[in-house]
Amino acid sequence: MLDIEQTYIVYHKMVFNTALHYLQNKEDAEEVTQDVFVTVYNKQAAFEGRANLKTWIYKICINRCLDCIKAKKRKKRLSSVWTLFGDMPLHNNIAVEAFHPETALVHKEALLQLMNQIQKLPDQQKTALILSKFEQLPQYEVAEIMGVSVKAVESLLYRAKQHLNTMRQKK
Amino acid sequence: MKEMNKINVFKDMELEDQFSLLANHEHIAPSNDLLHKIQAQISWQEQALWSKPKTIVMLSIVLVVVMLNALTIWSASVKGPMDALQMSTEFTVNNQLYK
Repeated sequence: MLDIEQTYIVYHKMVFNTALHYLQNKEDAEEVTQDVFVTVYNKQAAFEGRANLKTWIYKICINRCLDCIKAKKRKKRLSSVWTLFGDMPLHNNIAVEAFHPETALVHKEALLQLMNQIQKLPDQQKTALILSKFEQLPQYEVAEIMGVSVKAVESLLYRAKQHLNTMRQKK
Repeated sequence: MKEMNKINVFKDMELEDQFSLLANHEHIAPSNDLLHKIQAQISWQEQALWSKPKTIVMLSIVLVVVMLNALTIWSASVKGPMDALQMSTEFTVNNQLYK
């Protein structure tokens, strides 16, 4: 039986910060963190120590973050449709609220720009970048979490950087 | 002006340097009450009626009994008039034969 309090103490910062990198919003990141630990508790029987606990929690976290982004996009599309029919408020048409400790510093504007660009990357590239560069996980661990080969991770990172450079050149 | 210069310097930095700047920070913690929220959600789930296997079995049995009763009542309501019809037909035929 998994001690959820102990698991939370060990992994809560890891989960919260990964979610924060994905979602750029503190409230959403907290919601995802809560969801992740409840899922970990509920699905512990399915886990059965087949993989590394950290890897498994990362996987759940990434899936929840992607679900959250999809749900937000859906809401955004819906509210855009509603605006066509009347004066419905565009609730979710708010600019990405970039949240990062470093944004409090002088680099705020440029960092916000970079983080917004990262949000525009395809899901796989974004995941590889966040895990490898921000969470600073070794590539074999990123590959394990994403369920791909190390070569594939290398390729995803290369393409992500290319994408970002193209976006920067367009600016 | 000094600020602007710093921003421009940052923009020109290689991507890798920017990544390391973003990565090299202390992991920040979520709200203090998040653990309590998680524990509350878990205990709510455990107490929830539909999450207990015993309750599911009991509810299934009740559902089957109710459906069987309904089937019996329905078949009786259909069978009753059918039997009456059959009896009256037999009576008419018998009457015709004995005439």
